[in-house]
Order: sequence, then C-alpha cells, then structure tokens
Amino acid sequence: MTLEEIKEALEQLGVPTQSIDLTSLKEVLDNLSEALEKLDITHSDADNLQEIQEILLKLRNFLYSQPAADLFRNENSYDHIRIAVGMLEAQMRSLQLEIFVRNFEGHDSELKAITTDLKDKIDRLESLIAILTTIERLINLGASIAGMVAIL
Amino acid sequence: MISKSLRLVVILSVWSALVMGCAPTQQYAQLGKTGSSYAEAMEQLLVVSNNIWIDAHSEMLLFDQKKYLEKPNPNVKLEEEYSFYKKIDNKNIDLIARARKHAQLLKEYFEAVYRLASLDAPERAGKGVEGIIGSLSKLGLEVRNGIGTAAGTFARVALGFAIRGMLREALFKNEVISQELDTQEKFLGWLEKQLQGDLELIRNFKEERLLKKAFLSTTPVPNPEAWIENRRKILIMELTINELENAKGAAQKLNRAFRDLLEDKLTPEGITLLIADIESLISVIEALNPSKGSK
Repeated sequence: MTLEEIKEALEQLGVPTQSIDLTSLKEVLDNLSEALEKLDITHSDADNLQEIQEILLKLRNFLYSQPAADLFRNENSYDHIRIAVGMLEAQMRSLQLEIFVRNFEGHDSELKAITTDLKDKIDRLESLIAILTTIERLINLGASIAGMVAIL
Repeated sequence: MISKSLRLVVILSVWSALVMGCAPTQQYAQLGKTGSSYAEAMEQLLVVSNNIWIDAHSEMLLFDQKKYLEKPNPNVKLEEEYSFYKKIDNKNIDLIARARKHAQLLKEYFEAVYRLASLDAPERAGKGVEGIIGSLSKLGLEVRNGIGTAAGTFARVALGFAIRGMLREALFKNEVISQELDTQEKFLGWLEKQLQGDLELIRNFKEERLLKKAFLSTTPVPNPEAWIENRRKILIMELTINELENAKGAAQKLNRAFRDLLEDKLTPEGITLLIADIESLISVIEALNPSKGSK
C-alpha cells in the first residue's frame, strides 16, 4: 500500500474516534509499518507522511488514555495495537523531523556565506568611518599646532 | 558648485527611491532584531519540545508497564519497546541538536543584518566629512559656506545608499532567505502541533495519576496541599496548550514582514504584531521550561 492509500484507509476507518474497529486498524498499521520500512525519505511523500502522522498522534493520545483502556478492556489486540500506534507515530515524527533538519541544513552553507559577507561589509564600513574620524582628528591637531605657532 | 552638489544629492535620492526602494534602515534594523529574537526563541522551543517529547514517551512506557502488570499479554514485549524508545529518543536528541545549530546560524544572520542596519555610518561619516571641512577652515583654508554642508549630506546619502544596497542584497537577492522563512513557517506550525499532542497526553496521564485517582478514592486525599498544587499546575498546562495557538503566528508574521519590507509595505503595526507573537512564543517556552520558572 502507498502512503496515500494508507491515509485514505485511516480516514475511512474514521480514526481517531471511539468507534474504531481494532482488527481493520491492525491491517492498516501492518501496511504502514511495511511502507515505512521501504520509505526513502529523500524522495518521500512529505504531505502524506505529515497527514498520517497527525492522525496517528490523535489516535495515540486516544489509545493511551483511561477511557480507551476501559472501552477495549475485553479486546485482546488492544495492548498490541496501542503499542504499535505509539511506535509508528514516534517513527514517523522522527522521519519528519529528519526531513526538516535536512532541509534546513541545505541552507546552511549559503546562510553562512551571506552572514560572512555581511560581517565583512560591516568591518569595511567601520574601517572607513574610523579612517574619516582619524583624518578629522589629524586635521584638528594640525589646526591646534598652527594656532600655537601663530601665538608663538 | 553648491547647486551642482545639491542637485547630485537630489538625483541620487530619487534614484535610491526608485531603484533600491525607500525603506529606511530603521526598518531593516527592526527586522534584524525581531528575526534574531525569533531564532533564539526557536532554539529554546526546540529544547523544550524535545524534553516534552521524551516525557510523553516515558508516560507511555509507564502506562504499557501498568497494563502489562494488570493483565500480562504474551504479545507485549516490554524490553523491545523500551529499547525502541531509547533508540528513537537518542536519534531525536541528535536531530534537535542539528536543528539548534541551524537556528544559531539564522540568529547570526539576523544579528548581522541588525548590526549593519543600525550602523550609524552615514551619520558618523557625514559628521566626519563636515568635521574635516570645518577643520580645514580652522587651518585658514578657504572653504565656502554651503560646500561643507553639501559634502556632509552627500557623504550621508552615499553611505546610506551603500548600506541599504547591502541590506537589500543580504535580504532579497538571495533566494535562500525566502526559502528559509517558508520552511520556518511550516516547521513551527508542525512543531507546535506535536507539542500540543504531547502536552495533551502528559496532562491526561498526570490528571489521572495525580488528581482523579486520589480524589475518587474511598479515603480522603492524603496530601491536600500537594494535590491542590498539582491541580493548579495541570490546569495551567491546559492554558499553555491553548496559548500555543497564538504563538504559532510568529514565523508567519516574520515571513510577512520580510515580504512587506521587500515591497516597502512594512508598517510599524506589522512589526508590533510580530514582536507580540514572538513574546507570546517566549512566554509559552518559559511556562513549559521548569528551569526558567513556570507560570
């Protein structure tokens, strides 16, 4: 199953709601687990990944709660599915974070280059201002000396 | 001579307005300053959200252990689960460290923009030129009135051009800043959704464990003072979750301010709104970070 199909299957299941069919959910989760193993994050379908993870986050919060534990008290698969949802959500979130970090790092060298260039320009401007100030001081000094000479 | 200098100043000013845009350097300085505050807040948010993420996993592990102890299930492998979360949390710590390094680079960039924009070079250089001309007069050299003023103004305008040109180049000519701000907007929106989800899970567990269980027991709450304090903290957590909604506009407004500056449409109100969102983001971070004191 592709991520798109998995997302549609989760939406059809109506998760996260209290009327979850755990058997159907287990099938979708198995497919998701398989799809994630094959996923190449450099070419991943980022939007679908994000949407599925958001569904799983809500599902995780529901399954990891006392009301869900009470609701599925007699369901043998509840423990297994809850843990699987928690792990898949964590894995998918980590993958997304990795995609964001790689994206950011793709800008790093250019960002460094622009910042260095800016700092160089600031240094040059500050040097220019320092030169102008020094010239002014030298002229003032010259004027003072000239004044003294005139008095003498 | 004087009229020629003044004409040149006017021509250059008009050219500046037409070609380079007329946003004053003060606006660039404001964008640099707020951009730097944003990057710093983002770095702190990364640390806080990673801690909360780890805490959420710890709550889940404890819940799974509790369920296992209540009713052992052969399909549940607690040791494997523990190892999985240890591995994934360690991987995330590494990823967050890399994201923080990037936030530091972004902060350095905005700080450089601020330094350049707030460099009072035109003023200082202008004064320098006027001072030189004044000093030459003291030496008895003939400098007619007006030329000095025109030269000083020219120096100010010329250096103002140079600085604005450098700022525009640093901000707009390179696509990377535009792309960066788009990614920041998406990232902050995403991060805050995750943080909200984790806080909700932690709050529910804490409420169950620290409040409901003791309150619904057949005996009075053993330590009422601690129970009251916990109740307040848990309720405030809910407030923080709601505040995250307001804070997520920070990246969006930074991006908008950047584009408005590009089109010379940036208003003081736009900057004020951006600062308010960044402050809101910082207050949420402080509320979530116990080391900085909570609300």
